[in-house]
Amino acid sequence: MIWTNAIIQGLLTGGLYALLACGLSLIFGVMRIVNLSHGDFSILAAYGVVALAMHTNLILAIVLVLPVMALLGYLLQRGVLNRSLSKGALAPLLITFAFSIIIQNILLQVFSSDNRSVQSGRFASMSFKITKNLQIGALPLFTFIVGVLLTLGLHYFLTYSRVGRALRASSDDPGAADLVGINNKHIYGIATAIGLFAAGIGGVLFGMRTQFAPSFGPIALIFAFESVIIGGLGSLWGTLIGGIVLGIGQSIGAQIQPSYGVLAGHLVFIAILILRPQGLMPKQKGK
Amino acid sequence: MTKLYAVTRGSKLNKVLPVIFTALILALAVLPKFLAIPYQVKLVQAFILIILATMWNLLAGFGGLVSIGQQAFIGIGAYALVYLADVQGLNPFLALALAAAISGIFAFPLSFLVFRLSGGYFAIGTWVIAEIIKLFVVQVKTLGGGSGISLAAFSGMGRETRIAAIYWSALAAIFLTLLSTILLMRSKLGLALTAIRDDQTAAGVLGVNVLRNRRAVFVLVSVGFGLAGGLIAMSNLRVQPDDIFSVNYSAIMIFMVVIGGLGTIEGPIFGAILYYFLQDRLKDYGTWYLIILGLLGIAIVSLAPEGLWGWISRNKFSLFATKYRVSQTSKEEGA
Amino acid sequence: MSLLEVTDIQAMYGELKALFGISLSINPGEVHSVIGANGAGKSTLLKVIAGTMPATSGSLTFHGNDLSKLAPDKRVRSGISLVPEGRRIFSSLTVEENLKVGAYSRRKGHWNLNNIRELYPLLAQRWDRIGFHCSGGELQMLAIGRALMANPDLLLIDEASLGLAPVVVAQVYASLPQITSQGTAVLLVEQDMQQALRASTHTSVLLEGKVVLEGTSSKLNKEAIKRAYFGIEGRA
Repeated sequence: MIWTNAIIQGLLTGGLYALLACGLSLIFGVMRIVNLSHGDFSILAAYGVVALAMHTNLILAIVLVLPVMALLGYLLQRGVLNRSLSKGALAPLLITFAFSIIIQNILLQVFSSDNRSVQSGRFASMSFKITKNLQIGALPLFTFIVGVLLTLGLHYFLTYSRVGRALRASSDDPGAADLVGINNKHIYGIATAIGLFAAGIGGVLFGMRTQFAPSFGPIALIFAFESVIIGGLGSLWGTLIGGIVLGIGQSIGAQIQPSYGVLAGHLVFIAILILRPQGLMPKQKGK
Repeated sequence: MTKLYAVTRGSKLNKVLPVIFTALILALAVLPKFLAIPYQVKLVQAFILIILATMWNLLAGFGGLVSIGQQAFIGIGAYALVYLADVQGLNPFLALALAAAISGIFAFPLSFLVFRLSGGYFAIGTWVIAEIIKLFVVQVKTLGGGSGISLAAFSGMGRETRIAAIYWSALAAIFLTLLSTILLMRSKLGLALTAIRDDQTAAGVLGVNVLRNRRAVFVLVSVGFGLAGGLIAMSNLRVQPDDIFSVNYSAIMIFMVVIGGLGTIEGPIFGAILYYFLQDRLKDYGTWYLIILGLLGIAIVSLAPEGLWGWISRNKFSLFATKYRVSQTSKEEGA
Repeated sequence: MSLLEVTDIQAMYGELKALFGISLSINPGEVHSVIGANGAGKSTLLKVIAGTMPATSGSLTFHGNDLSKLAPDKRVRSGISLVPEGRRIFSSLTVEENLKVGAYSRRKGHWNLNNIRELYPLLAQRWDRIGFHCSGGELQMLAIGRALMANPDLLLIDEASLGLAPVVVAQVYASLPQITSQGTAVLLVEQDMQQALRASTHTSVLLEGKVVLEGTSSKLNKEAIKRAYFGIEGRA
């Protein structure tokens, strides 16, 4: 029974990792940029909500912060990152790493290194009793549902919308995208905007579930990265599956001994890297 | 209308420089006789920074492998030194050499793992490896677990002798790393790396084994990182997992290399010295100092991607003769 | 007034000059073919008009407006579409999606998914196939179809028949009248001289980056074209 419980809790946590990861996956898919500051943007959003929630209610705070994240993503892409794309693979990597350091230290300056959390009141402690020994927390369940819905939403957006198709076209061949009237720079801006919007959702839910500090960005990034690799590059559903596998791995590890949780997740990642480096659900050739 | 060209390496400047460098090394070697202890300590820190910058540059600038996880090998070097010197009771200087070698030995199998990833994902992959090694080290009681371990091997030694000895070790280490970097770049491996960096596919077609050459450089620089890690343990007399495996090392190395000039040998040295003075001046500003470094890094990458050294020299001259150049030896004979 | 006016265009590949002052003009609804040997500068000319390569001097006007400052995507919006060398079909998108992406600029006009299906029935059979799995002929039709989805006033086609089976070439050329009947002008780059002359109203022969012969396709002397094409004797 404790194992079933561990697996279910891990599964639900996987939804959170998928939220942290899908933006990373999207940004990489479209521009081949690995955003090393992705986790820091998640934490930034969580702090944004903490700061706003002091003056207004939580829902309004979230509704205000997420569009700001998207706007920030668009502006950073068009203002800074687009310029770096022509300077080789190294430049965007270094710039996003610099973003990471800047965000962490600004947060440290403004909020200090004390642990914070996004207060969601009674919602945080609500749970559904399934059997005598099995309970599902409302917040983890909600996080999981949001993770699945966001993946589904992104999938439909990329498959059926005009801008979504343009994103895929631009990812396939930016030069040819130019020739059908797509402004790649604008499309890249949109990709990063969506990426940081998703990172923001992940960050806020992360902040509701656990305490966090400015230095938590890198951990969020590493979990996101492991989800992407476990799931397979270039596949959104793979990222969701990857997040779930990572979550279950961590939760089983923690069941064995609490301090083994994170390590067990890393070992799952290593095992996938050795046994199935293309990930569980890799992108099909040409697809 | 035949023009004669000659391919040469270096310039007249490079003929004089070995003499100057030898003189500089000798002068640095006798320095502890004249220099107050705090300055020796500062020089050791500068030496370590130069070694780190040179190694990271070799990896990223020549090997094309951008890693943000080389603190793994800094940590392995540091812990290996403490373990060999304290637990096994080896002479600490012998332990330093062994620690560097052990770091290289760890790098070999790990390379098979991280080389399955490429580009930005390789970068994070190396970082995860560093995190995993840290999590393992924390579990080991003999290495002090999460709170770290002190280096006791020097406890019988007087402060002055100890610091001079560490200074000399660091000097020997920087001399060896720079020398081997120059020799490496002039070797076949160096040529292969340059070819890979310029065009990976073309180099592969021409018969350069991309993977094997990259693996070689990955293992070699890990020896250098291990050496630096051992020196850090020696000068701090203490190793803590959260510090030695900190990603900040990567941030600092990237900053030094980028600001100095990636892919040159002089650039990172220049960058390391520049960083040393910057952190000395700015460290009182706490977090603002790192924010400034980050902004400075973005500005350099965006505006002067060849780095300050590149900007200064514009590739007109180089201190270490590693680049080939073509020059016309006589004008239009028979014209 | 002509649709496109190209005046004394020069272009360089790095240090290498590719176009040495090219001029031509195209009227709405006409097919203008550009022929010439490999390296004559035909594709370069199309790239300059489409904006993927800058002109070092000369002027380009379209509908009487200066084009030279416009990025390629803006030129699509103003009504110029290029079917590029190598087709450049989006390999992970299906035939249908490639066509839909072609309409990204939202220009109004005759061409839509249904009309493209009628123009190229073969594409209708491959509707859900991804670009990666399409054959050469399918790719060429798709590339033209994708360009048409932007309802261009000027369609640029680079190497219309290169590497295609004769049956496919015939189908592609058979579709040109339907395209021009909508008022769209076509600028066609072709290596096959006969094919080009048959399909076009006007022809320019390029040699080493210069127009060495031009005129109404039906009135041009075959021998003169051959000489111009290969650069034999007095280039007049």
